[in-house]
Amino acid sequence: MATTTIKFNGHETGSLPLKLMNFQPVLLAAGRGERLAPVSDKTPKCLIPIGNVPMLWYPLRSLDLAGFSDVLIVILKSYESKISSALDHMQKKVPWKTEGFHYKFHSIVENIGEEEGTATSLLNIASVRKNDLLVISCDLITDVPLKSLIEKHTLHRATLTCLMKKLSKPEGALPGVRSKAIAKENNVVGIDEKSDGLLFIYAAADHKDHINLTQTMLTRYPRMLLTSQLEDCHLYCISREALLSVPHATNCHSLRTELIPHLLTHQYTPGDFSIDEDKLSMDLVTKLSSWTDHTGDMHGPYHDTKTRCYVHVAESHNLCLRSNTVPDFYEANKQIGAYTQHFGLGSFHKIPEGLKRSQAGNDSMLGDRLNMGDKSSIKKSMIGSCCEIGDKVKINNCIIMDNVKIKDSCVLQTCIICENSIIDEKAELKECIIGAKQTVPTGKMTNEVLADDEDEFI
Amino acid sequence: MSAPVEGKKVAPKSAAGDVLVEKEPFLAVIIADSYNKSLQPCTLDRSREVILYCTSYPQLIRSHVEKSKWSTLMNIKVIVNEDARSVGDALRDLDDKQLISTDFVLLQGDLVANLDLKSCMEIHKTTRESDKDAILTRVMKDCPPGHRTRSPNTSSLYALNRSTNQILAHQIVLDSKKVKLPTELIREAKELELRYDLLDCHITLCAAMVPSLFTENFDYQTVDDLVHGVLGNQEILGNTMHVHVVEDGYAARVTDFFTYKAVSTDVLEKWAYPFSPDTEWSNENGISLVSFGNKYAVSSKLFSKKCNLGSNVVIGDNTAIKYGASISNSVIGNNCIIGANVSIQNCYVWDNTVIEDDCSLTNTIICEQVRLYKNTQLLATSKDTMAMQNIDFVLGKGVHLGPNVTLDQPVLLTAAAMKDDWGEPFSAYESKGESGRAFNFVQPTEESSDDEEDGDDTSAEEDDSEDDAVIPDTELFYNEVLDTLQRAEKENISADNIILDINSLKHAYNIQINEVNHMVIQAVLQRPLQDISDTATSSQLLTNLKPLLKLCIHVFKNYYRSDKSQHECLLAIKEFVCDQSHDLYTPIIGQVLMFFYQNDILDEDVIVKWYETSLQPGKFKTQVSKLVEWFNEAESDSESD
Repeated sequence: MATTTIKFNGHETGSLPLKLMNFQPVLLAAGRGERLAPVSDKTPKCLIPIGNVPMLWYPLRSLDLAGFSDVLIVILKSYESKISSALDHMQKKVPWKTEGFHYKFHSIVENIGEEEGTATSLLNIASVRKNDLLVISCDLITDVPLKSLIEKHTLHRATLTCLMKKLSKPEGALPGVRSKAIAKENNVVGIDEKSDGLLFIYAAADHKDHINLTQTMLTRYPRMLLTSQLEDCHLYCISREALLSVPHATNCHSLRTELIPHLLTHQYTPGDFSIDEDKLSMDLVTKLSSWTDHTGDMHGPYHDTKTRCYVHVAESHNLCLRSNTVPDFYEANKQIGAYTQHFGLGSFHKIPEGLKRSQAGNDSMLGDRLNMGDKSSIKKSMIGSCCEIGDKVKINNCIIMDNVKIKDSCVLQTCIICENSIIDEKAELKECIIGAKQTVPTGKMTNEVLADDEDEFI
Repeated sequence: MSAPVEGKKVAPKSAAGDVLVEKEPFLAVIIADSYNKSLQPCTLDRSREVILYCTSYPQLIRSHVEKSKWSTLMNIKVIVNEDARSVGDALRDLDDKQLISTDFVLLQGDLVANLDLKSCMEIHKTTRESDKDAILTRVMKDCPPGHRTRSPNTSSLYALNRSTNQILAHQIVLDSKKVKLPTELIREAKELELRYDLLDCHITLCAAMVPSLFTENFDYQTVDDLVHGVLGNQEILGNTMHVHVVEDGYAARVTDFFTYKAVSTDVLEKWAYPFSPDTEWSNENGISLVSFGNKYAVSSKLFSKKCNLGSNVVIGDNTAIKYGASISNSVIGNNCIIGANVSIQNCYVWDNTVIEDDCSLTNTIICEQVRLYKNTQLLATSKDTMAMQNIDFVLGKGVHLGPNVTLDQPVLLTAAAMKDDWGEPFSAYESKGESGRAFNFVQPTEESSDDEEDGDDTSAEEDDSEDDAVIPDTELFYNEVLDTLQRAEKENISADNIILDINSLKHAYNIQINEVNHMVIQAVLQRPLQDISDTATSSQLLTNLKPLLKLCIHVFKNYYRSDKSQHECLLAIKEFVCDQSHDLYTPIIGQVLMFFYQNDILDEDVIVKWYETSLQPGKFKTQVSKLVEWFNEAESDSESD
C-alpha cells in the first residue's frame, strides 16, 4: 500500500491547539494481554513489538502527530522502568514531532487484574484534571485523524465519542493452533446514521435470543442501523463531568464492560448529571437556535437529553489495527510495513550493512546487530535486534523477536518466535508459536504452541 | 364519520394524465371499505381499469363514482359484496371471480395522498425484474414519531435490508411495550435498518399471484397478515417482499379522530396539494378561495359583514353565518346556520347543522343534523393525552344539546341509545339541557374479556357440566363473604381464618374457584361502600378501604397466586367499577392497584397486559394509564442500573 494518502501530517500539528487544550489524553497500557499468550508471557503487553517497535509507541505517536503534548500513560508499577527505558530508546531514534511533547506515568499497583481498574484509573485521573479525557488503548495502531473524533465530540458537547471500524478477519495462514482463530465477538451496534449517534452496544455474550429495544429508543431514533459488522477500537473521548457525576460510575471497574455500557444506557434515563457552566450556556444557545438534530416531533435538539454518545466509523482507506489477540497481532505486523512513513519510521528499518538484497527483501523489517549466515533468506518477516541466524536458513512470513538464535538449515514459515529462544539445526516449523526462552529441537513441527506452563507467568 | 369532508373525497391523481396508456395494463383494486371505522369512496387514475370493491353503502359509492368525472376517464367496475368482512375476504372473492391476471395496485379508501403512483409502479417492476421471488411492494411514507398524521396508538416496526429494502421482519408495536428482536435476524443479515418511521399508505403493489395466496390461507384478513405469513414461510416458499419509501409528496391515512383532524388540517393548509378545497380535483361544489389565510367558501352572500373568519376555514354552500360569529381552523358543511356571537375553533361541522346564538365550540366533530341550542358551551379544558387528543367532543348525527349547557369533559354523544344484542338499551341517557337529546356512546364490548384463558378453559367447562345438577348459589355466597369481612374488621380476625371461612363457604355453596377469585375482590371493594354515606367522596372511600386491604393482604395472596387468577382479579375489579358503575372507585383505582402491586399481590406484567387487552378508553383507563406509565418509567430507571 502506498503511503501517499497521508495528508494530515502537515496540518494537524498546530491547527487545532485550542480544541486540543480541552482534552487530556490518557494511554491505557496496564493490560496484561491474556489473549496474546504466550507472546505476552514474559513481556508486558504494551512492550510487545510490532514492526520492531513496542506496541504502545504507536498510539503515543498518534497523539504526538495530532499535536498533543502532555500524555498520561496508565501502566503497572512494576514495569515502569522497563517501559520508560523502551520509550527513551525510541525517542533517540525517532524524536517526537510536537514541541515539548512529554508523558507522565500514572502507575497502578500490581494486584489489579487486566480489565479491572481501567475505569477506576480514569475516574482518578478525571478528578485531578480539568479536561475531558481522550482515552486510547496501547494496542491500537491507527492513522485515523484524531481531529475528526475530537471535533464531533466538541461539536455535540458529547458524553462519549468512540471510534469503530469495520470488522475484518485476518486472511491467509496464521500461526498457532487453528482452533484459536475463533470468530470474533459479534457485538450488535445500533447507530443513528443521521447524526452518527451511538445508541447501544449489545455485547455478544449479553444477548442470547433477543435484543430488547425500548419505546424511547424507537421513538427517538425511528431509523436506526443495526449491525454486527463494527468493532470497537478502544479510542474514546469521554466527558469529564459525565465521568464524575454519573451515578454508580464510581462502582465501575472496567471501562469497556461497565463504564461504556453505563454511559450508553444513561442516554435513556431521565435525570442528568451536572455539567459545567460553559457547556450549560452552549446548551442554551442550542435551545434558542432553530437548529435541531432530528425531525418529526417538536422536542428540542438532542431530545432534551444531556447524555449523548457518538461514533466515528473509520473509513476504509484508514489504517485501524488492534493487536489484542494473536491473529490480530500477527496481522498488525504484516501490515505495519506499509505505514512506516506515516509514523516517521522511514529511517528506522534500514537494511543493515553487509546484507544482500537477495537475502532480505524490502518487505522485511530487520533489527540492529543482526548476525546472518550464508545462503539464508528472509522474506516478509520481522526480525528483532541481536538475532543470530545461521547458514541456509529460510524465514518466511515470520515474527522473530530479540535475541533469538536460529541455527543452520532451519525452515520457518508463518511462525512467531519470542525473545531469547533457540531453534536447533534443521528444525522445520510451520504455523507455530514459540514462547520466550524456549529451545526448539531438530525436527518438524506444524501448528503448535510451545511455551512454559501458564502458571509460571507473573 | 360516514361522510367525507371537502377535499378528502378524491384520492391519488397526479398531473400528467394520459402517459401510461401505451404500457401494459396495470390493474388497480380499491378496497373502498377500510374494514376499520370510516368509509370514504376514492377513485384513482393512471390505470386503465379500476375495480372498486365495496361492502357497505354501495349506493353511496356508486352515485359518487357516477357523479365524479373519473368515470369518463377510465373504466371503473364497481363490485359489491356485502359478505366481505376484510381485505382478505375481498381478495379471495376477486380470486374466485378470476378478475385479476396481472400485477395490480391495491388501495384502501382511507388514504389521502398526492403520491406519484407511476414511479411506485416502476420501482415495483424493477424490483420484480431483479428479484423473481418478489411478490409485493408496500408503499410507505416516512413519518417520524410525533408527527401529527401518525396515529398515536400503534406503529409498525420494519427491519429492512439496507440496499434492497427487502422486508426482513415486521412487528406491530403497541404503546409502552418493549420490542424483542431476534438475534438470529441480525446474525443472518449482518447489517439491517430498523424503521419505526414508516406510515403504511395502504398502497400495495402486488403480483398477480397475491389473491391466490389469500385463497390458500383463508385466515389472512389483512395485508399485514399476508406479510407475516410470507415472512414465516420465507424459507420454504422463498417469496420476498419489499418496501418503497416515498420521501416527498403527501400521504396520510384517516384511521381515528386524531388523524382525521391532522389530515383535515393538512388539506386546508395545502400540504396535500392538489387536494385542497379549491382545486379542480375536489371542487365539485364550487368552493373557492375567498381571501388570504386559506379561507374557502362557496359564496359569502349569507355571511354577516360582522362575522369574523380566521385562517384555515372552509364554509359550505348555502350556510349562513350571523353577526359576531368567529370561526377559525374549522370546516363547516352545507346548509348550516351559525348563530350570532358563536365562536368555533378547531371544529368539523357537517351538513344541515344549526348552532344557535352565543354557543362556543372547541375541538369538536359535529355530524349532520345536529342542533345546539342557545348558549351551549363545549370547552376543551383537559389535556388528555389519550387517543382522542385534539378532538374532545364528537356529536353523532341528530344530537341535540342545550340550551345553557356546558361540557368540559371529553365525551362522545349519539342521538339514540345504544342497544345490546337483546335490544336492551345500555348507554346512559345524558340529560344535556331542556331540549337535549343525547346518549353516551359506549364502544361495543368485544366478547373477549371473559373467554381469554383458553388454556384452562376446557377443564373448567367439564367441571361445569358435571355440576349442572346442583345450582351454585353465587349471590348467597357473595353476601356471606361480605359478612365474613365485616366480622373480620370488627373482631380483628386473622387472614388465615378469613381464608378458612371463605373456603368452607365455597364448599357449602358449591362455588367454582374462579368464581371465588372473582367475588372475593368484589366483596372487599363492596365492603367499605356499605359504611359510607351516599355523598362521600372518593378519598373518604379510600381511607375506609385501606385498613380492610391491609387486613386482607394474605387473603389476596392466597387466592391470586397464578397469573391467570391475578388477571381474573383485575377483570373483576374492572367489572365492579365500570360495569356495575361504582364510579366512586374510578379516581382512586390507581392507588388501589398500586397497593396491590406494592404488596406483591398483583404482578406488573399482568396489570400491563390487562390494561392493554381488556380496558376500553374512558376515565377508568386514564386512571390506570398513570400507573402503567409509572411502571414504564420505573422500568427505564432500573435499566440504567
